[in-house]
Amino acid sequence: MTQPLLDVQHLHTAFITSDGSFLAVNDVCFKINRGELVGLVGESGCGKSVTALSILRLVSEPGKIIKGSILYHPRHDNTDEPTVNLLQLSKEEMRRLRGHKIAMIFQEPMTSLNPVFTVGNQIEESLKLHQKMSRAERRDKMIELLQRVGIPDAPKLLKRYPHELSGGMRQRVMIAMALCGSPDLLIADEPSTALDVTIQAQVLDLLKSLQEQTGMSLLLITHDLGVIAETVTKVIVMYAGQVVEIASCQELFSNPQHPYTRALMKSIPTFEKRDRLETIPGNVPRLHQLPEGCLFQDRCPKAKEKCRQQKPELEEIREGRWAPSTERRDPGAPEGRWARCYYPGDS
Amino acid sequence: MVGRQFRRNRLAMAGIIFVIFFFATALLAPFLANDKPIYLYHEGKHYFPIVHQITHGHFSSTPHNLKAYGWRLMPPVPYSPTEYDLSSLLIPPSKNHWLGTDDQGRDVLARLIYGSQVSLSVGFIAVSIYVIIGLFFGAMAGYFGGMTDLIISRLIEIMICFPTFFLILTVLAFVGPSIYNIMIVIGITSWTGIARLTRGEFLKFRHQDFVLAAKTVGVSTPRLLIKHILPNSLAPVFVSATFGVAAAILVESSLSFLGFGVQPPTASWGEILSQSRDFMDIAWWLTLFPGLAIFLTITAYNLVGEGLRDAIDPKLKI
Repeated sequence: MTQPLLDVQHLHTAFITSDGSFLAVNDVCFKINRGELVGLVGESGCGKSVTALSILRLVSEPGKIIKGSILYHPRHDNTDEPTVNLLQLSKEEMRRLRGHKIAMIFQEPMTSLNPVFTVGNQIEESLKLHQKMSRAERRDKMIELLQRVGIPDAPKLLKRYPHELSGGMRQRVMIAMALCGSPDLLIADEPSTALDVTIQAQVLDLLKSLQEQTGMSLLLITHDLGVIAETVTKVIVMYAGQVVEIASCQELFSNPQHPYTRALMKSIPTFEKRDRLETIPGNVPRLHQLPEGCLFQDRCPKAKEKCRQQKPELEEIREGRWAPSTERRDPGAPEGRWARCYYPGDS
Repeated sequence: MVGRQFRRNRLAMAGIIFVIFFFATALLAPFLANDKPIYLYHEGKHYFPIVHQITHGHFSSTPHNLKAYGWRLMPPVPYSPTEYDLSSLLIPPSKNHWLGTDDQGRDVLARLIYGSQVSLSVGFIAVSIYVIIGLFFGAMAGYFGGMTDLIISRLIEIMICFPTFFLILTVLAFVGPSIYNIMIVIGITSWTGIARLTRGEFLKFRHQDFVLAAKTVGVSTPRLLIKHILPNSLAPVFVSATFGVAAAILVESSLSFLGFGVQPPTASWGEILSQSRDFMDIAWWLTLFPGLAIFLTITAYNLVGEGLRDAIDPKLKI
């Protein structure tokens, strides 16, 4: 059995402030297989970015990972590299892994590049960190990387400063930097949100084609269901710090199971429904004072007594019903459909 | 951008021209004021006595009785700052002594020229010392925050409470006055301003996206601090350091004036002023010229500092 590349199990990340602590990531489980394109969707503040930063162990103070494990299985079967729990690595081991095995790009290409260095300097920095190369080799590698991300006239670009580039170009430079260590997993945190629509499509296409070329896995974080529909194969839906549904992209759009996902789908504008868009009533629960039971209960049209009393777990479902417990697989296995709801589907 | 903005400011340009002039004077002091010739032609041989002195530390290869023989080129001020001439005491400014002589017959201009070396080295070395200390503490406090920040911030506040000048006087009274002690004492007492500025800058940058981006690439913390954040936070530090040079020069002059500074016979502006006290009623040139030199230098540095500050900060533009 092939092991998944990344196996996130019961991850809890809390922010401890003077007003009390709250869970930004609340019992998150999912898997990313080798070469898989996974989308992580949810509204602002639902814990998508904190999940991504938790994987890299870069959650900044006062945030802290309090529970769970993140198992990372190196990509190539023939090497003897053992499976590691990222949360148990030393700081130094983790630092060496970042950028090399797991890389990340950010939403704001405008501020993600250091304003005082040239593009060449910055890409070179990440090359220096992870590979032993001569100066000439590094230069060749940088030009090759920039050409791969579709930048014409790469040698000239190396001498430019970030403020001289457009948003799309900067995002390409960020991607080139992320590819320096030929990572197994690239986490893209809203990579296209700050760009205009045509550039957005270009960047997504680029990420997709790079994924095909290198065989790396891609975790695409976004709040844009359109981006998800075009790009990924598996979707993880988050709500208030929890994973509420995992499904293949096609299934998610054709037959959403969790009431939250269903409500989300209804609020996408289409040509057919020209009148008022449907919205989800109510607000996301305040993370300081989470309700007992299901976190979506106050906004759910189908909420019942059970939903208010007992917290539902993320479990496998088939045809709108719970799967028989004997056949249960791990959460996030590629074939499965998972939802955190007692009454999934239409019923 | 910054350069253009700076050049548009006339006062700042005047300041920087004076600062360059001051630098040149200090660096070329041996060629500007010396009792040995720059070039000497004697019995078919060429001599460069001043160059020889600088490279070898003495004049030994130069023929004795220089004034008697050969063709020679003297520096514009043909006196050394420590050359006593008891036949010309307290001469007012004249053709031979442009800015007059002091009570021991030494040329005031020559002493002023050599004094600029003291001011320059004290200004720069003291400021370098405290910029380094300030950057270190400021970076630690700003980046790590929490307990580190608390301790360093309190330390800064304690340091600020001391009247620096009297602290320096006290320390010098114990360790003995010398130019090196002055540099070190100014250096270790004046770093608080820089530390606070740096702390603010690091606080601002530590949560910026590019810092996070650098972390995701696997940059280690020391490297992140030095290579990624520091270059972004240097601009205000430079401005502050420019003002700091002026302040350090002033402190050195004050200390020398009080006799805690540079020891005779080394010339320093404050020391010349201090000697002039006894002759203020008969020798005005002894007071005026070193005072003017201090005033002009401090003003020039402050003008440069203000020009830099305005050029860097677009919000201050009026």
